[in-house]
Amino acid sequence: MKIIPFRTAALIFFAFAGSASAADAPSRLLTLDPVDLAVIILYFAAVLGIGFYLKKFTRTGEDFFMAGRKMTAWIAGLSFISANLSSLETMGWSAMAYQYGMLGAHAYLIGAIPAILFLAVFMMPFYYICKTHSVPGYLKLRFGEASRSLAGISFTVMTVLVCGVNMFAMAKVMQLILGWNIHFSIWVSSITVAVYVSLGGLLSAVFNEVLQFFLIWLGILLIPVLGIIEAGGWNNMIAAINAANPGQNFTSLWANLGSPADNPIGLHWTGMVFGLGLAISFGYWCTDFLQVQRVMAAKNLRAAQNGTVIGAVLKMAVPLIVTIPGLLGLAILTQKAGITLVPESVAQATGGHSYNEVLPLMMSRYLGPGLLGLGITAMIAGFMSGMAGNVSAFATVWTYDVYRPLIRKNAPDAHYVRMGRWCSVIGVFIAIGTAYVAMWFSNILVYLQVLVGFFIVPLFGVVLLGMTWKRATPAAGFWGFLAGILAAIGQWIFIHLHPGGFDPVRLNPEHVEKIAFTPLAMDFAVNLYSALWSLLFCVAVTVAVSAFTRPKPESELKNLVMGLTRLPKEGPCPWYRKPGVWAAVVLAVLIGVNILFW
Amino acid sequence: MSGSAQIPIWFFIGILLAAYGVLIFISGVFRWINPPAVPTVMEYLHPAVWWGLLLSVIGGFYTVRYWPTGKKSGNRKARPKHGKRPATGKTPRSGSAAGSSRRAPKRSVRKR
Repeated sequence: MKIIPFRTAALIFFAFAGSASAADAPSRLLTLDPVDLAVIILYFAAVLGIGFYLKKFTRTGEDFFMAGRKMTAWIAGLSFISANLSSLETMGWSAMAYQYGMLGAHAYLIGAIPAILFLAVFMMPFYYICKTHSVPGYLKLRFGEASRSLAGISFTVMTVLVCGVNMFAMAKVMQLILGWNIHFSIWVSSITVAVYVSLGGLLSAVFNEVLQFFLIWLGILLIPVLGIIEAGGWNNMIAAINAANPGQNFTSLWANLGSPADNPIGLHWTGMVFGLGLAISFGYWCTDFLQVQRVMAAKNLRAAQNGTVIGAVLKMAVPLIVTIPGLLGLAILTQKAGITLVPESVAQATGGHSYNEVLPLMMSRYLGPGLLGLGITAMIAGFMSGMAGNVSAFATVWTYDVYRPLIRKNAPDAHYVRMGRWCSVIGVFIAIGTAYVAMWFSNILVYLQVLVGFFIVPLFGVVLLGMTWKRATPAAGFWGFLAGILAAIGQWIFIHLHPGGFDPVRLNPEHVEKIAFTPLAMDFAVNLYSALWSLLFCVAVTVAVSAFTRPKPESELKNLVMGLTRLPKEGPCPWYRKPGVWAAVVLAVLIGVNILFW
Repeated sequence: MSGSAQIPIWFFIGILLAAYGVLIFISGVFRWINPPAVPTVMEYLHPAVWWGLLLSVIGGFYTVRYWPTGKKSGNRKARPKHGKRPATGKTPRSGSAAGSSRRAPKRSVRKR
């Protein structure tokens, strides 16, 4: 691949950015041809064009914040998964697969599918029928203003933090892979997202997410295809991994989870099942509004449920483009290319390649001009879909759950739409500032896991009790949620407390053992247990406070609680369109996959 | 909402994939005819050619299938928004025809 044409084009880009020159660019992993650059520029033109085009369709609050509630099941499902399929996911979980083997795939199996199906079959009817705009909005209806405000404020804080780290990670990756200036990457991508989300709101975010879904898949799918061919087939790949790592099990989902000493994460199977499979997963997929908003925008309840089930199918397929490239890195990079990947800190000290570079390295191995541009576009699209998801969810929750109830009630609808547009832009700029918080964390996926544990897992506990238990009281909803948040933050501080003081980077093994039952547990493992304890504490406090406070009368709980909610019949439906049928099929496939790769 | 019909998202996807397909296909053919000094691994399979063709086919299909007709999408029997195919020419099995006495969602409910 030639370097000169890219340098010329890059000089134009950098001159436009006005903050750096190509000469400042550090060494890069990949170089682009003009055709690659054309692919990337076409992508930016397309997403901005869609944003400008959709502006005229978003005049009311319902259009801007809920995309008019007219999405088909497929669009809702694709958007649901695309908002989650950021490049943090693709790069981060590929790196996890290289580092820990097939264990990383749990994030797409037990760590996602049961929760998504639960959302589709059980929780979605409540969200949909009460016609709320957001998850905090449901809390307002079920528990009152205090719970809604706490959820709204905590969600906006979390969203801005996640959005910031997404942005920072993208800029770092572009610097690493292409040598692009970090400020240039941050500003170009964030302004693009701010423009198209502020113009078209959720409608624009959803449209672009569907587009980005296709680009992510088509940009990366060729890597596992060519990699498996090069490795000589699946069995040869597994054999090569086992031969290169004698005495270690990198190719099982469950066989190495019998004891924390058997796997490099230091995790027992109970942590995987109850920490990831219950607390983190159900919290994230069932109550993180970033996810739920996409399917709440469906045109009717059946489309919302089917869209969620479609999302589950698509999620289960993601290991094909995430886990397999990581495993191929284990099988091929070391043995055929003589490259061994190391932790980030070691890579920085020695100038070697880090785990996080496994996907870009596989790209450089297989993708020539044009295809490489598509691969890079897939990564940019991934970052932008994740960022846009956060920005649109932030705009909705800020406007409906913080600004309207607490700052300006009873303004005209147009005022709230204007507020939504402005806070889409402002949210992006605040997020840039928060990106540096991520520097505290050794691993960005761990940072995201911590944030979900702080704010979303307790939210799930409260929402679940609210939907299933009539006796849960408004006071209990608020205090249970707050107790869960404080328990999660308290545990995080506890595991980072050392005799010499607090260190946000280093774990204290003695304290870790009290939470995760073993001093061997790494950040990832201890966070799973921490989330589980926070969830249980939140539920316990909610139940206890309910015992001593007055519940709402049943007349105020209609369409909010199980037993008091009537589902509208949406006409006759053949069996193959029933969400329950497909949820059962997906669950059976999930069990089959786990047995197959046990 | 605007009164004009909304172009389905599938059309935008089709256009972009078709453009990418053509670009990648041409680039692949060029490399096939003029092999590079430093080929990528598996270059002999000419992945750019086949992947470019695949993208062109997918993109072309979506472009043609969802080409904007300019019809206003307010009518349920016309092409609905977001790429849903028209429901014309297909009689609902029961309960969903306009004016049908069986279509009464407010009364017809089941308790959860």
